[in-house]
Amino acid sequence: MAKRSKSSRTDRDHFFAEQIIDSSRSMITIINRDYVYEKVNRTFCLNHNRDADSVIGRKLEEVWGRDNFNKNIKGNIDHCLTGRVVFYQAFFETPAWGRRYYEVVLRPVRNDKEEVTHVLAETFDITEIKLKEQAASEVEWEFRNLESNLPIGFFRYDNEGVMLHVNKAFLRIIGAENENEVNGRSMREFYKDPELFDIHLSKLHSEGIASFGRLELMAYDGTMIICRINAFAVRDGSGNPIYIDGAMEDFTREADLEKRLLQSQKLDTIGLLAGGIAHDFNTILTTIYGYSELSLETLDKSSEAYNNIWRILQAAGRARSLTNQILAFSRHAGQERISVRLRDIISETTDSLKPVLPPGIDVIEELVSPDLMVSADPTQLYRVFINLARNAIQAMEDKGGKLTITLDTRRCDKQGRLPEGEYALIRFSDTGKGMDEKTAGRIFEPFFTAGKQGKGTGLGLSVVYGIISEIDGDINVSSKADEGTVIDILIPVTGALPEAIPAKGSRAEVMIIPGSDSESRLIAMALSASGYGVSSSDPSGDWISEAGRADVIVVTDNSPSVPAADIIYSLARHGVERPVLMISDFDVWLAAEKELTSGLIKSNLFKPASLKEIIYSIDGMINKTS
Amino acid sequence: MAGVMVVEDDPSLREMLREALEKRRYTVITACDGREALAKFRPSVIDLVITDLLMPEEDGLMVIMKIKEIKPSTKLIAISGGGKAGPGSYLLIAHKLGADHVFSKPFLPSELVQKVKEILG
Repeated sequence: MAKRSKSSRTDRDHFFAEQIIDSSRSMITIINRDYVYEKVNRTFCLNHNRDADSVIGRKLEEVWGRDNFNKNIKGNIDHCLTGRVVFYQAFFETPAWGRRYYEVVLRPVRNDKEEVTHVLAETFDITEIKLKEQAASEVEWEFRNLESNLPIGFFRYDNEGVMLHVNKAFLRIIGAENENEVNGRSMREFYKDPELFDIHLSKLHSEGIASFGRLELMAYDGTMIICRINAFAVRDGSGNPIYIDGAMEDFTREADLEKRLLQSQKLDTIGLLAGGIAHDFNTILTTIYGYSELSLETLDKSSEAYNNIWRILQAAGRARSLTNQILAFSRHAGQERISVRLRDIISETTDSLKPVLPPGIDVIEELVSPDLMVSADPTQLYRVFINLARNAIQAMEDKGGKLTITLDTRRCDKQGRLPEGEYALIRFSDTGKGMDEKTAGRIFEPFFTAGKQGKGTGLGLSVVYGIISEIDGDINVSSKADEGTVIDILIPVTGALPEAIPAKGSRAEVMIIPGSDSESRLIAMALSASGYGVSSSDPSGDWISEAGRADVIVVTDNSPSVPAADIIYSLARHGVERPVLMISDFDVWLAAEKELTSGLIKSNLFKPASLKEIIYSIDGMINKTS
Repeated sequence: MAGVMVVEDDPSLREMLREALEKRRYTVITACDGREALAKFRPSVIDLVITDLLMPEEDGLMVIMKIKEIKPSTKLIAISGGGKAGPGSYLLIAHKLGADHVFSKPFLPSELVQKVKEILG
């Protein structure tokens, strides 16, 4: 009875075990040492669409194919047969189900003698999980790819600002070689103003998300970069921030362009304003001139009143040259443009500087592209170059130094302020005292002077700017205090024009006296390029008879030894009745005016006279005489 | 003596020019803008017109054109205040429209009087 009872309990246990095994969602099989299935559960049969009898008693290699068995199964079973529990993942491909992934656990089954007689194989179908995992890793891969290739810098730092992770773009923006250089350092170190970082961090902690535009950061090489940062605080389950994630965009170049565009708009506005004022001023000055001169006529030359009014006239003359400069800056002048070889203007500039160079200062020409031609008024370009060179020399007066004038080419792409194309680069690089960034940003504004107060009008560089802008060029300054200043001028290259250019002026014969100074040589060159027959002479030797053959005589006050009035006087004395264009400083004109209005002088221009004015005056005189 | 009309909107400059010319015994008639100039213009009296170019009513270019229509033999001098600014082109246009001479302000009255003398012969 007892035995039966025991036997019936075993039967029940067996029945329950069968139930558990069959209802398990795993596929469960028992394999003997000959790799033959001895038992399979219902899930196995359902999954493989076989009934138990077609599997039990058959070898695994018959069921799964020899290759598959040898490659994926046998080794694991052998390993288990040595008494170890074996885990592995495998996939099988069948035409009916495609690729399925399994996780397999093999457990050794032992007899009474502790010998391994069978292997209990439990197999889970993990295809769904596997596919999800794969999709997730693909997404992650794509994200990583994006993260490292986007031009946006990604970063993560902890609550103290210590960098935990950055992407390639971040490294590129900040100028670091690899992540190790950055990780462990504080984001605070990259801020130009480190205290601003503390403000940003506390804002992120309190508000969770924030944008910081126009942020000034310091790159590894010490240059400043302008970035925009969007960042947010990542929090744990209880809402405490654990780190900050953010994206950073470098827009230093855009900010720079924007700044320069604003600067040029500002200069245009000032120019317009100043030009309007100068216009009205000239009207007022005419009245001052007029009454002063009318009064002089009625006064005794030795009287005090005469002297006082004379000084008013001289002051009005300075005011006139000021309004002239303002107008030159305000870009309404309209320059006469001819094809100009830049090398010639540079050499005229250095030639005229050399005799007056202070000791210890050198001027060097570096003609990398010596044959560049541009379309410009050579007299105006000369003014620009002389102005820049004099500034450079002034900046080196205390310690001495070297001014290098370089002529080279530069290609401008579409992104710059200038249209795309080939440009001539004229660089004035000095080793003088330089200036700070703030000063450098303002030097082209009229009335701004970096020199001592009361020294000059501060108009020089604004005129330079006006002249260069008008010939479609651009001018840039970069400077470091105590190291020197580099000023770059870019002018579009025209290439050499054909020899026979259409003459802008008439075909008249023009004689220039004196002829050996830089300014006269430039005027001669410009007039000759404009179609005039040009000769020049210094007031010595046989100049009078030569002058008698010219249609128009241009007289300047450039000769240091022979005053312009003397030249005119000599012409008159020798009966050379050719019309004269006088180009002089206002003071010279004023001082000699009585002598000069003798009749020979048909037209006069005050310095600095542009090519347009010269051509206009000469043509006016020729039309009168013909 | 010859008659000269001065057209200038700035009153002090207008008076100065009148004085300078009257001193040289020219008969001077003044106008403060182009409209007044055309209203006051008498072909039998005026031999030369000196006109500013930028004025509120009827600018100087219009004065030049209309006077050349009324009496083509009238001599004309244009003056303008921009030195090399606006007038660079304005004065050029004035010249093309038939002005006998152009002056950039500021100029000395002696220069102007000398030129007037030359033009009127």
